Amino acid sequence: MHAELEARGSFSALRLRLAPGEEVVADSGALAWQDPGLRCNTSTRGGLFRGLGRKVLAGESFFQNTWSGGEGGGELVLAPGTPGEILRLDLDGEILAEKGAFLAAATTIELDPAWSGLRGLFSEGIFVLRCRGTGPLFLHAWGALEELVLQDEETIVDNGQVVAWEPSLEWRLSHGGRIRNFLFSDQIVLRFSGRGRLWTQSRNPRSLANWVHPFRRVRRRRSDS
Amino acid sequence: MQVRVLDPGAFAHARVRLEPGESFVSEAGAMFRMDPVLDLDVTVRTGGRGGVWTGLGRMLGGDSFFLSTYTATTAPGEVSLAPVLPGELRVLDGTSADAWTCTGGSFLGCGPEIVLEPRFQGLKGLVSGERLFFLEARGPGPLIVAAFGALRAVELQGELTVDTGHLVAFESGISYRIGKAGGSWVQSFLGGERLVLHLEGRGRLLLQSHAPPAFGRALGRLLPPREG
Amino acid sequence: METRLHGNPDYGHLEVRLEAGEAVLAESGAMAWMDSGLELRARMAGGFLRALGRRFLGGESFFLAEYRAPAAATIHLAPSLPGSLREAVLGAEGIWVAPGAFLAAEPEIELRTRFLGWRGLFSGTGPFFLRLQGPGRRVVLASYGALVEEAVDGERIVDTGHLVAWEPGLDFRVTTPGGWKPTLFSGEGLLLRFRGRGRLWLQTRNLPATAAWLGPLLPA
Repeated sequence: MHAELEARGSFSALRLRLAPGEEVVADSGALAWQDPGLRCNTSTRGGLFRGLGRKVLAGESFFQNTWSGGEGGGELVLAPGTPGEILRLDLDGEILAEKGAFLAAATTIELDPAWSGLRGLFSEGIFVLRCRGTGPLFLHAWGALEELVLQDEETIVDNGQVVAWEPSLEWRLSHGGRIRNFLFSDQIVLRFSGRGRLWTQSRNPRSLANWVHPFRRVRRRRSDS
Repeated sequence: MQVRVLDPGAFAHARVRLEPGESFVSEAGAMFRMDPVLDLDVTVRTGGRGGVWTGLGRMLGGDSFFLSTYTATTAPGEVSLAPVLPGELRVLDGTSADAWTCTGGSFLGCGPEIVLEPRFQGLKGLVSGERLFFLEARGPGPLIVAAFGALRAVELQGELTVDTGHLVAFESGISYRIGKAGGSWVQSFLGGERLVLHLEGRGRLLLQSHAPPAFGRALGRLLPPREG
Repeated sequence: METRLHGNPDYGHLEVRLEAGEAVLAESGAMAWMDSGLELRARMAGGFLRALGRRFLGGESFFLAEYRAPAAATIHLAPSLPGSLREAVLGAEGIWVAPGAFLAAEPEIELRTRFLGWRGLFSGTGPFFLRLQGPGRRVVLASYGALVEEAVDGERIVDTGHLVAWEPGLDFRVTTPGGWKPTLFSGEGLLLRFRGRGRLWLQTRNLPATAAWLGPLLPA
């Protein structure tokens, strides 16, 4: 599979050229434009939310499309929903990613989503995608990407601004700091320590969601009868 | 204390380095990454009278907003701050004599000696009931403002009409009047303008290429409705 | 009328310098900042009924804004979404434009709307496309994300959320990714199959996809 970034930088898209019969797994809804003749198969690879038990968070899903080149191969361009950068990792082993950052991967990579809650709770936490195998993995960021190399140090990153990290790092969820006012809903953070690489994004999706919330249409209440 | 702007292009963020004994204030929730040696403390500031506003910290009835304070105690440390929207950042130098007025959504952080004063402005009879929320920042030290999009600096010497969504900050030598874009009210409304500011005076003015309300409305239309 | 593009590729915005008596036509709400003294008038796009449809079905405001300068003045215009601007000079045939992609044009331009049909309701861009005509006239288009130009000679399948503009040498019809299962669950938006010869302008981001990405993160 030949991959190249269309329009380098902040709003790049991923152009993939597939050989005849070659496959790629992509996040559902990521297709921007394509040659005709590519086939598409939808599935929930990796199983549904291991670790979550019966409780499924509203709106969470992990649908992917498997695109395969037809007889003549074919080209497709994938774009993430987020205005931000694309990270290519040539995987040979394992990497942990924030589930929402997944864009596409070779089918030789196993994708396994699991919910990790703060102190085992469902209410706050992070959806971790375990990616294992060999081949290219494409993640997308909300904001600018930064790669950090930790060498026996510790750093604290806001929960919403972690893109991916190597499993050699120790990591745990925790609260941000001392809270003096009960009205302020807590900032959840990830504490990383040890040795390994970590990728962060310079904007926070949850902050954007909270910011856009007042712009939503209001659901009309039905009057009681 | 050292304040730097990193990734100065599309998705800039700020990195503040604090020596022992120093502290810095930011919009609550702006913390992106932090050295564990720093203390993080969240406080509430109140100001203004009545009404609901958005853009700074959390939205509440009654004009309170939350700020995070970062303090280095025993060792130096760094904290990275990120605004909500994509865009550029600028570090301004506050002075004791003059103030910078920034729009609520543009404030990212400032040094501890800067006094923040919220100001609310409404326009009587406006159907939408929208009010403008400004934050006046007075005092010495760094002030970080964040733009939605590209930041444009204008040296104002006279008059300029600015759509309220495109204003980031202005110096004290500049005064403003809330108004309509031009022509009759109906024409303004149908032409798509809501509130504009007629600015007058001399001083520095910071504008942003994109307007948060326009982006919010475009996106809000496509989102599932919320509970009223 | 002099135009200058600023902020490309991420935050494109437009500066327009008008001589006395000149005017510029803009998407409603695009005014960012301007010299005092410019006059604003509302203008309709296309026929009245079609324009009305734009407002109530697509969510797009159906009026455009015309800014006229009694004396020489400068106006800055900006789109709602971050991305790139491209200025184009219309050829004999004009171009088709997705409604969100129109930022500004010379006021002499002819604007018509074309109804896309009921499926357009799900595309996020609204069920109308704009046809712009006026040989030699300048038009400024805005993309959400980066703008990519593709020369098509044959076929191309495009998600409508990624459409910016295309030349009339290309025709299109609605298509599905293939098979019922992908259509329902694949998460793709409305797909169009373009056929013919001409240039296609596409954008690397898609507002309905951004909304879908934010969905699970929203408070109740």
